[in-house]
Amino acid sequence: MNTHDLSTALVELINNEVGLDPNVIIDADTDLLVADVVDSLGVVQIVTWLEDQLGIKIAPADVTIENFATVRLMVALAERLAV
Amino acid sequence: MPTSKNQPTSKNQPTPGSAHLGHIADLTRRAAAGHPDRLGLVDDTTQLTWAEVDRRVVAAAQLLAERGVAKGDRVVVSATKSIQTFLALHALLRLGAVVVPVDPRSPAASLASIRAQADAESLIANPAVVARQDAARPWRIALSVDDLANVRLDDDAATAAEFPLVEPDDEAYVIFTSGSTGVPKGIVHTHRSAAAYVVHAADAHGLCADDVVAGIAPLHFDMSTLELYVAPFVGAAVAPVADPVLRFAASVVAHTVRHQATVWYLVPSLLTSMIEANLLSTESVPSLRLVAYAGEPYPGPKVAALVERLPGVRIQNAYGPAETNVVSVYDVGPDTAFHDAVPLGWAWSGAVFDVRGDNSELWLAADTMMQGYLGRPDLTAERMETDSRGQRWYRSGDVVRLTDDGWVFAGRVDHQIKLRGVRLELEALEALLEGLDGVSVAVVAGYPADQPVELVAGIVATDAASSGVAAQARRVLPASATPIEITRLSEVPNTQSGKVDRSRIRTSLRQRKAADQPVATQPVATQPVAEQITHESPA
Repeated sequence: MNTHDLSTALVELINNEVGLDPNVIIDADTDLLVADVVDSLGVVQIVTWLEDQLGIKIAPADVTIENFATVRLMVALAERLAV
Repeated sequence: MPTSKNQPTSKNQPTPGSAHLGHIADLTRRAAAGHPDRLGLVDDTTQLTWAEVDRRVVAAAQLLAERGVAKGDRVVVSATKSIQTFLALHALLRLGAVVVPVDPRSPAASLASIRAQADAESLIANPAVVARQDAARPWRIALSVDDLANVRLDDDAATAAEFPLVEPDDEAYVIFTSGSTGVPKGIVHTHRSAAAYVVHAADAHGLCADDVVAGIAPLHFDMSTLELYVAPFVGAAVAPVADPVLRFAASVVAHTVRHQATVWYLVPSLLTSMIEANLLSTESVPSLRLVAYAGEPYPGPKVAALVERLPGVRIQNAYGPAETNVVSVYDVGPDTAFHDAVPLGWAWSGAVFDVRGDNSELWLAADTMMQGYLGRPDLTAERMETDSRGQRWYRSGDVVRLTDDGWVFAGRVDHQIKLRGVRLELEALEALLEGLDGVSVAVVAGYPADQPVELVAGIVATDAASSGVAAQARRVLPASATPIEITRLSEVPNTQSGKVDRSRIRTSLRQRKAADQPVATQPVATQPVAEQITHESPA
């Protein structure tokens, strides 16, 4: 999956499944934590999804606010780990 | 009692436990007088000494007074933790106003109920909460925490500032918790009860001016009173942890390292997440000297794992319902027996335990005890009684048993559970779900049984209702109380008296959940410590 596809798929995942508030539609740069769209269980869902889709392993130490505040940051993390 | 490898140097100063404190209205003034040049508040971009903190508190208090906030006003504070929020709280207390913390993520209905019960006309909040206020019922005063933090004041004006006299029996803060019917109930603490907690807690935790307290518990959770009030009392620095950071165990660890925090006061589920993710060791958090936990039971083997990870760090189990504040602190040591539960220890000075009835329910009398439930003499009478000597007692609902190491928590007399430190009444959640159209029976259980981190629910509902029930549940339940799974029940067992056998259904819901997930999802990220409530508790 290229960067654009991964980003689109993650945005869809969050808007359709993970997001807490169906009225809030996010894009790749929405701060998910400030907008309060994703709670901790949502973060776990996203981590699991990324690991399954990309065959990568995300270490607990990488599950930080710096890496998960926006979809763009998640994609950057996933691409670093996929190398 | 384990000794800390980082025993603070000022430990030999007179213990604050002997100090008298009549109110908590001017704690930053005291800190500025005693420790003017020591670090008071710190985040990633700002460092304020206690002298600077107090100047800003005075400036913010003057602005609030100009806007019309007066002594005795109850003011809703719905904000994530930050330096700004800390300043706003102390500014309110300085004016003699009453702080009513509310989770910024509360559903609108819950905020409206709290506002009405507290008769609050003023709001200090995150900018987003200020922006989404109800147009039909605007607040008389609505300020964002940032507005208050940007006020500056010169030294002369600060010295000249005068504030109302605050008395021990004046209300200091009201913490709301979910009542058994789902309507929040307000626990009223006076300056007297708050100040008594501050003095006892400083002593029991051995907090001193060399400490840096990582402010972990959210504002609406009463565990936050340690950093809000005890830290300035002893002159310890506070490094607030913004609520979103709490969803990431690794980020809490990184925050601790960045600010060289020495003290954690947190719920066991966050510690469990850190241990499961292998984030915790004396190398990963070298500055830490004290970990105190409270808020929910912490199974013995898990406490043993924590002790093993953090040799040399003092580990304490703090216990006490929000109604009484903490009433006992037990030091986990090499001799602790890690059975199913670690002892609560013995009542600290100022508190008395009395165990009554066939079910060994714990009753508490303490100088840190609440005045009562706000505007609800009926609820207060249900939980409190005054004996022939005029001593007031609070009925905790906790069952305890006596061991050589002190009291041990042994369960509840009702169906209250703790979910990541949040106190939930299962009957209240069931009543809210049974209030939805087409739902006739709803049963809620915590999973797993020993240290619940999520809820599972079973319902009996019409076809039409069951399809939309998850979305409906989210609308009526607090964010912290949304079941992760709602199962439609095909049959409902009854008790001998013909009632729905809720305890059997709870057991079968947990079994079903266990069967679906042979490998538990590792809760790497964690829920905010508490969404709505408060209660420190058994471990």
